[in-house]
Formats: sequence, C-alpha cells, structure tokens
Amino acid sequence: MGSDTACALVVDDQADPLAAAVAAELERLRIAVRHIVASGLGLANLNFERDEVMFDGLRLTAVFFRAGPWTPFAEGFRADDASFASMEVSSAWLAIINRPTIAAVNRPDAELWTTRSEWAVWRRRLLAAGVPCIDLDVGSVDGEYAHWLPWGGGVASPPGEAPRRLFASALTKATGLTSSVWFAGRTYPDTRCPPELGGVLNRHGIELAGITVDDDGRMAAVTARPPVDEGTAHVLAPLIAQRLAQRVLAPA
Amino acid sequence: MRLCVVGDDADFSARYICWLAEQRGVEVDFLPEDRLGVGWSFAVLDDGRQGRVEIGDRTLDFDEIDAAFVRLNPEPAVPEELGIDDTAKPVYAIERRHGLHWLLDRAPFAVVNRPHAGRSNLSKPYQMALLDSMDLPVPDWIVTTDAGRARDFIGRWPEGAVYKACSGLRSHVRRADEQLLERLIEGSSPVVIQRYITGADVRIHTIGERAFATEIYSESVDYRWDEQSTRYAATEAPAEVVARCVAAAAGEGLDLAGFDFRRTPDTDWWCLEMNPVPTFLPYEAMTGHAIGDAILDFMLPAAKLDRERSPLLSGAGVSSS
Repeated sequence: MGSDTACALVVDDQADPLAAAVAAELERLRIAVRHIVASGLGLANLNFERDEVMFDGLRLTAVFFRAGPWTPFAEGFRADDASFASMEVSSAWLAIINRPTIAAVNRPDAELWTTRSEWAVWRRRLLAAGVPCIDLDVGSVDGEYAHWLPWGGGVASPPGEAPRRLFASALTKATGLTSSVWFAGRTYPDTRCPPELGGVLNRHGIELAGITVDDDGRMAAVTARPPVDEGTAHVLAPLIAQRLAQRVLAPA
Repeated sequence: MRLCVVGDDADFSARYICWLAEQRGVEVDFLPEDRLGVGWSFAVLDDGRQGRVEIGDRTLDFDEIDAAFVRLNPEPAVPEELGIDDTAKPVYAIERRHGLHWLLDRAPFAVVNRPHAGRSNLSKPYQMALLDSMDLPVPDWIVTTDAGRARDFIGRWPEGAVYKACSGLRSHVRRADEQLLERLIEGSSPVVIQRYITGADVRIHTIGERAFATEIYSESVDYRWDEQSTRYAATEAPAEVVARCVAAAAGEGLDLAGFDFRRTPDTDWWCLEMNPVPTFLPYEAMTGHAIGDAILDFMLPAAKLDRERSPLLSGAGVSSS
C-alpha cells in the first residue's frame, strides 16, 4: 500500500479471534486492510483533520475497533508516560470512530467510551426506552438475591453485608442469566430478548453487542465490546466485513 | 428543606454551596465519597422509585431529600481502617465510584450535575466536533503525531496556533512552537493543535437557563495557570450565544456548565470547551456574579433568593422573589 492509499483499519486487542477474522474477510473482499495490535496505536503516525484521517500514510475509510478504551495503547513509551499516552490515544480514537466519513459497525458515544460500568449506562438507556429489564436493588444489605452484578461487569454470587455497603452492590433476584452476541438484529446463539432492543442499540450507534438476559427474556446487561468465541467469530466475520465494505463503497 | 453535598469535602465549591445553603436555612448533609460504606451508606431500590441514605444512626428516605450538589475528587481516598493493600485500592475506588454514580443518576431529586452528563469533555476532539454541530463554532484544529503536518497547520494561521491534550485531563494550553515540533519528531502521543484566536477569554457559566459571563484578562495563553496577571470582569454575552450555550448544556444533560470562549475584536465568539464540572469561585469572587446562589435557586426553587450580587463581595444585595 502506498501513500494516500485508502484502507480499513482493524484494531485488535488479541482477546478473541474476531478482529483477525474480520481483517481476513475484508482482504477477501479486496478491501485494503491494516491490521494492528492495539498496543501499537500510540506510536503510529496519525493525522486527523475534519473528516480526513491518515494513519501511517494511509487514508482511513473504515475502522473495526476491537479494543476497549482502557486498553494499553502506548507500547514503546516510557513507563511513566504510558498511562497518559494511552489516554490520549483513546480520546483521539473516540473522535475518529464517530466521524461520519469513517465506516464502523460500532460508534460508541463519549459516555459509553469513558465508563467502566457499561451495563449500568445501558440499563439507564434501556429503561428510559421502556425495554423490559430485570429487577435491581443497589446497596441493599438485607434481602435474598440470586446474583450480584459487579459494576465492572460480569455476574457473581451476592456478597456479604460489608461489601454491599462499601460498593453499593447491584443485586437481582432474576435467575437463569445467559449471554449471547448481538449483531445487526440477530443473536448468536439464538436468544429470546425484547423486540425493542435493536432500536435502542441503533440509536446509540451500536450494531455489535453482547447481551445478557434472564429466563423471561428481560435485559440484564449489554456491552458494546462482547467477547466472541472462535465459532461465532467465523459466522460473524463475513457479515461484519460485508457491512463495512458496503459502507466504504457507498458512504452515507 | 434538605440538601446533600456529595463528594470531596475539601472542595471549595462544595463547601461554599454548603455555607450558602445553610444561610438560607436549608439543612445540609455532606456525604464524602471516601466515607461511603463506613460513615454513610445508601440503598436505591426498584431503580430509584424508593431509596434511602443512612448517615450514622439517621435514615433519610429519598422523599426527605430535595437536592444534591456533586463535586467528586479524581482520586478519592480509601478508608485506612479497611486495611486494603495499595494494589487493590484503585479497583476498590472504581467499584465504589460506580455505586455512587448509580445513586446520583437514579435519585428522584435534583442532582447538579448527574454523573452521566457532559462526558464529551473527556475527549477534546470529540467534544469540539459536538460543539460545532450545536452551532458553537470552534477554531480549526487537527489531531496529529506528525511534525510535518503540525508545521503545515501552524503555518496556515498568521497568529499561530496552540496545542493541548486530547483527553479531558487538566493540562496547560501552550503555544505551538519549535519545542512541540521537536517533541513530535522524537515520538509523541497525539496532540490537538488549534488555531490561536486573538481576543479576550470569556467564561460563560450556565445554570439551567440562566447565564453569567466573565471576561478574563491575562498575559498568558492559558489564564487558568496564571494567577499573577489574570483579572476578571463581569461582561455581557450576546443573547444568541447564551441561547446556544443553554441548549448545548441541556443537550448534554448538564444543569451547570462552564463554556470557554475567545471573543475577537470583531466580536466573533469562538467556543473552546464545555466543562461539566466548572469551577465558579474565582469568577464569582472577582465579579460579584451570584453563581453559587443561582445554583441553589435552581436546585431548591422553594428556597429561591434571586440574589443579585455574590455574598463574597461586600454589600451584596438580596431581592425578594
């Protein structure tokens, strides 16, 4: 690829196989791809002005960003600079992913990008949109509950009284919590979820998500950075690549 | 009438709001973040439809609280008596912070500001694009790691450029100069370089639909770090600029916001930033703008004073409402 060549960028935190699979699919579709490990973003040559983004001399048309905002992006920086540099890189890429000229499947807004408790943000948004969600009490020191939803994500057994007070633990009586991957209106594996969910995700710029629901199909959690296993990655990668390719060839 | 002030008990703005509220006969409870779970605790039940705050042996139901004012410390302490080791403290503090956010986001009373509001401030390029889209023109800018592109950009503007951090970390704004270019050649994380606008700094605080404009005179590029030469004076902003600020703050969920502008000699207003946790004490103390009182008027309309001048200045007047 020469200078000023248009290309798609795949940022990979190597936590799962999806980024590599999407990069391979984009190449198969003859879209020029730069596939980079997230930690290398910090030292890459970047220029972002208005709607033009140049990355190591290549003009970006699409970004598939498979790394969280707290990922270390600053390999090669001095140890005492690395944390600051990572934050600077993360802030720049939030803006880039949200430019309309850059094709993306997920365009997280600033709140989603900067919170460490994504499910809590989604719960507020889902409830505001009238989407059925599981019951939830926060900070309650008495009462029987089935699960604890730590603010940082995941599902755990309810903690004792002291942690409930100290962390204002989020507790639910909902049972049978199961997780799946959502992409563009379908779930993998097929999972019952509220029909209004897709509208809320779309309104907030998200097509690829992880969802957790209870026995009754009520929402327990959402993440725009879902872990994806090998089998699901191979199913989703062609769909994601196709979606990005369409947007690169026919930008909005 | 009861106000809870939540967060950092060493924060001057928080302490000032406490004092002002007490002057009005409002009962005030300070809820320090670093004592959550040991000095006080809370429960939010059924997504905020019910809830309570426990302070020592007192319990306040949500319907006994009228409002909360929030000032969080970026690095709140962890109670020593818990014996948490240093490596676990950041994890503890993050988990506790999110619990507190839940309270402040779900509480049925007024909260200034709710924690989810104004997050765009954590990325300058993201926020600048947002401000531009809200009819608040922002001076031209680039984000770059490249010395050549930086030099080209700076050269476009006869009055030069400044540079600043991409993130919301409080950092100096400096002249974009040879030192910056050398830093970029050596290898740097991305920086924002922005056209320098000659003119006056103006800060507009918005509280709901009210606004207070302050002009700042300083010999420095970034007056916030210059206590020696900086002077403040009350000024007026055009109604359309104020209306856009009020709309932008509301769009971002901010009841209280601080907008930074550069106003040119031709009276063009260039927006630099929208701050979701604006300090207001220096502006109030130097101009007499009754900003703290306006915050209380907004949060506690039943105890409204409509004070015209700050009590921080002598001879402050109070009008009836």
